[in-house]
Amino acid sequence: MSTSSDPGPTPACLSALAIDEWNAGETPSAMRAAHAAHIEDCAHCAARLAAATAEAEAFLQDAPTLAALREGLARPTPRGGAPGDHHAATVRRLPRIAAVTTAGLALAAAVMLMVRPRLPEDGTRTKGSARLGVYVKRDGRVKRAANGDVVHPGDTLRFTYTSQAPRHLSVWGDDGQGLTRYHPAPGAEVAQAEPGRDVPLDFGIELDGALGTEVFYGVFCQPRVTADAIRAALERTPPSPPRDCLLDVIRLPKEPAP
Amino acid sequence: MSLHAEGPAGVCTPHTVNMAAPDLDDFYRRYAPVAYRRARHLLGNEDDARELVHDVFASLLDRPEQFRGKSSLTTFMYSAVTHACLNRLRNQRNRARLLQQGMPEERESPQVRSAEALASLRSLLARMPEDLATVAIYYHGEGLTHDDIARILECSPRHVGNLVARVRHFIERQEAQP
Repeated sequence: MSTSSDPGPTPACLSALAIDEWNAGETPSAMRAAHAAHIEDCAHCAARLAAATAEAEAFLQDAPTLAALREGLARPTPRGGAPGDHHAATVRRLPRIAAVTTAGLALAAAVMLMVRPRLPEDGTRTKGSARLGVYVKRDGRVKRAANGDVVHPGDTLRFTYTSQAPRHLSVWGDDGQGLTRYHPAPGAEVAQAEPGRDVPLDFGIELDGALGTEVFYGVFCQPRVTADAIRAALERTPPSPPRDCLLDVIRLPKEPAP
Repeated sequence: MSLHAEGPAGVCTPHTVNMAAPDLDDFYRRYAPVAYRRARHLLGNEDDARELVHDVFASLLDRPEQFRGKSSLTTFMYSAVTHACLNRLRNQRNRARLLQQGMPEERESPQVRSAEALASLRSLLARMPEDLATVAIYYHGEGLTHDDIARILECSPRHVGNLVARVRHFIERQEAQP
């Protein structure tokens, strides 16, 4: 439907292919000048270009990125009762794969995980320039989960982070029985998180049968902050980030599988 | 260099331009949104479209040589998505479901006069020879010009015109059947 600012198409308007090639910078040179002139004069095509750009951005925000998806969710194994692990879920440390060495490998992971992603945020999470992402594997399929999405016992979770600046990152979980630190691995005090978008973390979690809300905290600190200080901050009511840290929270209600 | 190379029998043939395989990561970010939009448009279903994008990029991963010899990655992606959509439409179960669901609301093509016409076209696609179905998608489904289609199929606009005429003839024959 045309709006008052979009007069609608004319026979001279660009085709869908021409729009896509224009956005991709692949307009054949012989057509470039004519297309540019048309776009400048045609509100309809200008609106289509803008819409295509916005739609592409929305898709990429929603769909997993290649770097984040270089490997599928690993089959979890028992964590082995680490101190302070009140969580009955099992955790597996994934082998740290060298940074993607080929784009093909990245694409492999992307296509393995790029299944029906959903919008990552619903407004209840702490906003900022760093955030946590989570993917859920169920019945062999993987999808991106949003805050508030229902999960089921036996689901496997995989986490990513997005940060615009280098920070120290820790990831914690609270299943109602106490805090568990999932990242960095036990024995490590801090973990550096380099800037990146949807960078995968090296652990997966298989959810146990206890129902309730699983809460996950991503704590991004620019100065180094001890684990004890972060724990203390998260145990406040409500949980809050330590000074000079950002906090992102994901809550996943765990309900019986249908 | 001509983008409209044509074989001796008038069939569509690939160009001879060699383009190095692109960085697949970048390729995904640049072209997956386009693939998704077209798949959603052609299939009329977001979930099917996402699965199709998955399949297309998985195929590219398996056979990256598909990139080579292409003059435009956009036209290459058009071709790959169209082929995948046709395969999906030919799937009996999906075809039946799509027909039951009706048509997507969004239509841009000036050639397409009504949703009913497109619904009929979609039901016909699964029965058309592949070369005709491909052209029908571009021409009737997306409103591309003969020149556009020729660039995607890597043949001459004249040959596209012949295919469009054959599509029309095919549709007329189908409609004439009781």
